[in-house]
Amino acid sequence: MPDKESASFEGLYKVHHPKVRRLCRMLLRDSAEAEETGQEVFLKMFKQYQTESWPDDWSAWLTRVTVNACHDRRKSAWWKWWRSSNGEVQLAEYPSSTRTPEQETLGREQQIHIWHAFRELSGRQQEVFVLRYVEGWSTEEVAKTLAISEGSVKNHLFRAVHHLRKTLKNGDAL
Amino acid sequence: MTQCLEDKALFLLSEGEASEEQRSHLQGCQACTERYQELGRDLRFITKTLEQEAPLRVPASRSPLFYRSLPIAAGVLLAIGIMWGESRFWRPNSPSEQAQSDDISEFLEQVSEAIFDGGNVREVATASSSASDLASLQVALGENCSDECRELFDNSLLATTKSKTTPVERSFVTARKRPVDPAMQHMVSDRAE
Repeated sequence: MPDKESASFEGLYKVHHPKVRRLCRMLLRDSAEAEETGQEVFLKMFKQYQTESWPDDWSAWLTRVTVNACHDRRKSAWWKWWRSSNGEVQLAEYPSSTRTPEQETLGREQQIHIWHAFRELSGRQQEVFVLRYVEGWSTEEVAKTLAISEGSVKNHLFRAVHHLRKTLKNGDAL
Repeated sequence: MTQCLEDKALFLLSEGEASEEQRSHLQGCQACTERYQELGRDLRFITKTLEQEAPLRVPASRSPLFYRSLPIAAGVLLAIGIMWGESRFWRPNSPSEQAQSDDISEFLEQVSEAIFDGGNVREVATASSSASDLASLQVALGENCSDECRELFDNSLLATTKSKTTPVERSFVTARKRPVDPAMQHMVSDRAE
């Protein structure tokens, strides 16, 4: 049963906003687009909140809605190539206090290599990888959310992991 | 099982999906165990990296508008080129042009017959209805006009000037001007007056 603070819409927003924002930023290239999609997700959440047929787990519900919203956005945004193509990946600067010592040790160049490789994955591969490894969902849950078979999830995952590891090794060799 | 596991088999092992044979190989093979551990390390590293804030796009690094406009500019130029090519090479002759061309061919044929076949000269003369036509034709024929031809023109000119027929300009005949016989020119102008 959710506590009093997180049961209110403001509370839910406060708790889940960072995760939704991060997911949108991972799955969409454009940061402004990611912000817009995040707002759409919380609008949907508000509508769902008003119906009072609340999901058992708001976190899982939001993740599912966010991934699907990003998927739809990518499909309908082919024309945005015009305004967003050829952008260069550059890591955002954040206060070092938010980084763990382990993160600090990560080579900046290597991080850029990994992000480049992640951006090179297909939309579906990105979704599968994020849900399985970043969100820590099971293969079955991922398959159910994305409406694909578990075999497809594993294939997408393997290809994504293979590509990312290859890039990581090439980055090491440089 | 003596052969080492492939990358996909190792990945499926990490996903908890492998045969008993593969599991037992993994336990007994040092190389595969190391590869399996390396896969786990890589996955943790990649996930850690991606868990950080996603990279921002830097607006300044976007390609200049000029380069992004090139495909569209090329498309527009191609469309203009196709339209120009179509109008220049593939457009069929318009009906009026075709009719004019037929008229000219017919007229030139008649002139040709008049010059090279004396028997048909009269027919050519009667086909020409105005004084201007005849005068122009005569001028065009110039020195090549035979005596019979000249006499015929004179008669026709007299007849047409008397009936005051409106002269019609035929530019295609004047365009083919030849050296004019001065005596003939003088005679034509006298008659016309």
